[in-house]
Amino acid sequence: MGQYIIRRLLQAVLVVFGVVTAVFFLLQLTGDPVRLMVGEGAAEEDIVNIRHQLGLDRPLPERYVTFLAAAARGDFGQSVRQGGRPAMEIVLDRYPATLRLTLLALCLSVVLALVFGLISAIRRYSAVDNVVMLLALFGQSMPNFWLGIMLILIFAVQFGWLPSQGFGEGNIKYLLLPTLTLAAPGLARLTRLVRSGMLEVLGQDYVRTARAKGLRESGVILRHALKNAAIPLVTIVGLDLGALLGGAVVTEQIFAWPGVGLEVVLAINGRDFPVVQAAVFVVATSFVLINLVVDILYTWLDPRVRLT
Amino acid sequence: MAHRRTGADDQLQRALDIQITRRRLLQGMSLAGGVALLVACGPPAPAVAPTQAPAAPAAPTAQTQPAAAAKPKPSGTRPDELVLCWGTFQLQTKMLDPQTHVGTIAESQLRHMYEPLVQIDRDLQTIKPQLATSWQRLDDLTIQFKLRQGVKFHNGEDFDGEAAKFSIMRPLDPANKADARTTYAGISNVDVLDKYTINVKTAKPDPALLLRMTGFSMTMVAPKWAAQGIEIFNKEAVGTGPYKLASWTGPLQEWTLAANEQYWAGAPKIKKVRIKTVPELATRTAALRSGELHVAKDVSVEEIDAINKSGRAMAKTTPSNRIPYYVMEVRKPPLNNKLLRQAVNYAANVDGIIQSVLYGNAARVATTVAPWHVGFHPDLKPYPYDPDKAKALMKDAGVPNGFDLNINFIQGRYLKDKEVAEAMAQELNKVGIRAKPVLREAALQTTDDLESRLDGLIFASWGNWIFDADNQLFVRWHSSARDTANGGKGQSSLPYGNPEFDKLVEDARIELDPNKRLDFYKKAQQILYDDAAALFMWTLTDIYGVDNWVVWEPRKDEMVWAHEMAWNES
Repeated sequence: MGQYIIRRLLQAVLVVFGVVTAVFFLLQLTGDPVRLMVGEGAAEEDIVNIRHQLGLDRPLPERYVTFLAAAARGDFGQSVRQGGRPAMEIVLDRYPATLRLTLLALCLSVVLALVFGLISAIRRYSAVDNVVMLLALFGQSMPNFWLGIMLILIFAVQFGWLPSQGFGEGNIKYLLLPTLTLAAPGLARLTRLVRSGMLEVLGQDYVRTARAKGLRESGVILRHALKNAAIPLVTIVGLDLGALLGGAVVTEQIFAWPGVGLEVVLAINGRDFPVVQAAVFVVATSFVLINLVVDILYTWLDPRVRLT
Repeated sequence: MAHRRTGADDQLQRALDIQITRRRLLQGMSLAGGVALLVACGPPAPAVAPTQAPAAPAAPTAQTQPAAAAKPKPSGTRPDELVLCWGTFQLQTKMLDPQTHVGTIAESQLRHMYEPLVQIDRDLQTIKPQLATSWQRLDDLTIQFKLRQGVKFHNGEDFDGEAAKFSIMRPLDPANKADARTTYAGISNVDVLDKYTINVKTAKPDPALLLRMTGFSMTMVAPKWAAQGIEIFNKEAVGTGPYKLASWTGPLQEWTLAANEQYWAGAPKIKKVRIKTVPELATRTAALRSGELHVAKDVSVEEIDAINKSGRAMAKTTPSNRIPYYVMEVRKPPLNNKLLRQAVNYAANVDGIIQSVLYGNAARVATTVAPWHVGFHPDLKPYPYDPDKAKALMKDAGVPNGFDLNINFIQGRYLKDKEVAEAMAQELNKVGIRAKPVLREAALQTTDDLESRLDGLIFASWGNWIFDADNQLFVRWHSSARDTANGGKGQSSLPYGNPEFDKLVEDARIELDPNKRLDFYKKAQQILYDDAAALFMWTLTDIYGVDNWVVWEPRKDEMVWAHEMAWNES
């Protein structure tokens, strides 16, 4: 197990390195932050000076190496647009809010998917099953910005039960709508997977054996069936995380959630290279690490899997 | 004997599952399709209505305004703090430094804490004393200001002539990298005659000097505090204004202000203010309707009725100081031909677009200067909508079958910028001008602009912050703009150069007699008009959402200030 983890961590480093490199070259080739920064009427010498200060007048390969060397020390440079504040500090300042939203959305989708998928599978073809499946269809089809705004109109404007935007010092009220909006497509997909997974498993021989042994139905379903049905889910959840981190950008925009998504969009629009690169690094690293955790979870769920 | 369940049974069951799922899927889809049809059969996309009579440039709105006399009754309990909300973050570039910013939003927010010597009044024409109590022009190059006595900065420092000199000269120092340095670059020095008297001197006669002194960069900062270095502006704000900075954690977070009880004009009525930014238009409007914000700048045109009926807030409109227009790349075909430029102005059904796309929320102008700016030409009539004339001009120019034209624009910054560009293209196509809207991301548009790769129409918008024609006509149309832009390499959006025009605005720049000056500007605007140097459009109408608990009328210059507001407690 230890060897496996070490190997996976090395792979993680490679993946993050690849992502950061790709983004570096993409960014540097598509726009000039100095122009966007200085505004109208800037003197040419000013622009030349700023460019020199930021090191943007050096050849691309040299800039890349300098960047890597500094990044290895944790220094992603200073924000071009935010008065020289360290880029990584800006990102880490905002990242917890995004992480909170994303992880909550992830947990919510997994838990609710298990519950609804299970109920649907057990009460197959019933009214409950139909409703759940229809909702799942909607959840997967509705664009998340539409869903977000609809939720705001219903819960914030019409009923006034929940706030429509903001962080509110982390109060749970402010988390509900953004989390639901972010989780909806993933939740829908997972619910259907749980349902079909369970149906598949419930038809297996060992389930019949368990019932024949005289186990209570709840024991059969929860202890034997669900654990097996959950195996493919774990893979999907790992992948879903990527979609969640990406989708967070739109959700953050709609709900004015002070996360890293909005920060990154502003940075991209302003070609604030250091901030974009720091953000990409942080997000890529989280993604890879969480997937590692998910893979380790596999072994607990499925003893047949040997981490080799 | 009971049938033993076999693998075949399971397979059958699975097949049935899938079948039923598929049926349900189809049912679900047809349901969704039905809903989509219903939604699509709602109000169709607005087709631009051709209008003959141009709208008079008065305060516009097509929405019925409820009786303005009666103050709306607020519901519930009076809020604890006033929440002001904008749609764009602007502080992140220069943080809390009022003198190096150039954006209107930054100005509006920071002017709660900082103020200049003189301030423009709500009518945008009268200059009021602020930190200066009186002034007089001593000679062509000098204005003397008498300063208000007994005023203290938020940290206790005295406001006096030395502080004024420090504050005026600070943005002119290239080391401070003020974004708007060129607007104030004409100021050469400040002489401090005694504790409360200063002389502000310019290198050349400057008739707009007083107006420049109302500008953002000319706000007063505490000298000893500011001398700690520019980084102090990242965290603190020490001015003389009606509000003090209460809490600030960063440019992309909410922050709060507290009333300055020692303010020289008396403490403001509203004691606690929170500043929020909600970028998404729909959310901002929703938050206004749910009472989470009290004043929202820029709510959507379509929601004006909903807000007015909500019983909680009202939508208030005002003509805006901001004027959008399309720059014409006059150096490249097709618009290097005056006849074709005029054809575009005749064919662009501007009034129709105002009605259909902006629901009447704009006022037509024939120039790029607003009616309340110094130097506005009141007698120019906007180009009438005349498609036949446009076609005739095209025939004269040798292109009876039309020509290709790019309409370059960015999206999301101004009211309906995308819809306007698309409607404009539609209108031009009607006379045979093959206009194509070209949407670009802001960064890429800037790059293309700077490499002079754009041609055709280029969207521009100008919020003239000294309310004087010089700020627009010289800065955007004099050939020096074209020649020095981009370090001498020029750029697409500053293409115009006309020696006759140049001489007029140069003379106007140093002419101290207001009548002569107006004459120069009128002639200059006539040239732009006859030459069809731009596609002239309108002054925007700003739409604000105001909660019924707040008594406030919006200003034309986009300044949203808590010290001009009061709670509706009657």
